[in-house]
Amino acid sequence: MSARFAPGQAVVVATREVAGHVRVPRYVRGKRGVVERICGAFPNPEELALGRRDASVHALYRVRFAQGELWPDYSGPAGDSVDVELYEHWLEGAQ
Amino acid sequence: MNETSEVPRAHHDVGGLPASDPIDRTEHPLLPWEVRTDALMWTLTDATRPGGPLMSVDELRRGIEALPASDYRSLGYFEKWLLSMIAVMTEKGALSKEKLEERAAALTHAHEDEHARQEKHGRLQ
Repeated sequence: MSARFAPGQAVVVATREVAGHVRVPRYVRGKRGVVERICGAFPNPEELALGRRDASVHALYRVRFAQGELWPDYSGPAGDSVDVELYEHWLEGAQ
Repeated sequence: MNETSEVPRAHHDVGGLPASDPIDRTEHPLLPWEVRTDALMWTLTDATRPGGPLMSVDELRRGIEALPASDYRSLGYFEKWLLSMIAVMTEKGALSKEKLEERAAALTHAHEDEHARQEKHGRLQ
């Protein structure tokens, strides 16, 4: 299983809507973050949630978002961030 | 870059929403039925079961997220688990509404009988 993104690379989270169980909180959709690490490769939880045993395997990344990117009115220190673990099929490369 | 505002928010996806009440952090000892619910989930997801697990934690989550918004907000943690487990196992045909009601009625009767026996015993002493 090869990972499309490397640590340090900027990514943007997809904004698409998927019915069922999706492990992508709304507050990161459409937001830009940086790959903090590759966590490994795991079966897609969206497929597992439908009872599929042959779920496709995707790379999972820990993506770091600046708090200011997520919350436009964030008033804490500029270096504050939040890490969210996201599967590769929800990520696009960014500048 | 604000396309997200057009995507309907699932009722469980509350990250970043203002909260009306502070989070209640009170802990309570687990009740016997809650411990049993947890044990049942371990049994259903047992990877060593011949033929594989009967359900996955991802299915549990789907079932919980599919609860009506009012239930999602008002029910307790293990109540949500139980309703989701029932929904998923019913979906798979391993459980039926009739069987469940039959079993619940039998347990209620057994409980009432036991209660009556204890009352009687208590009076005799």
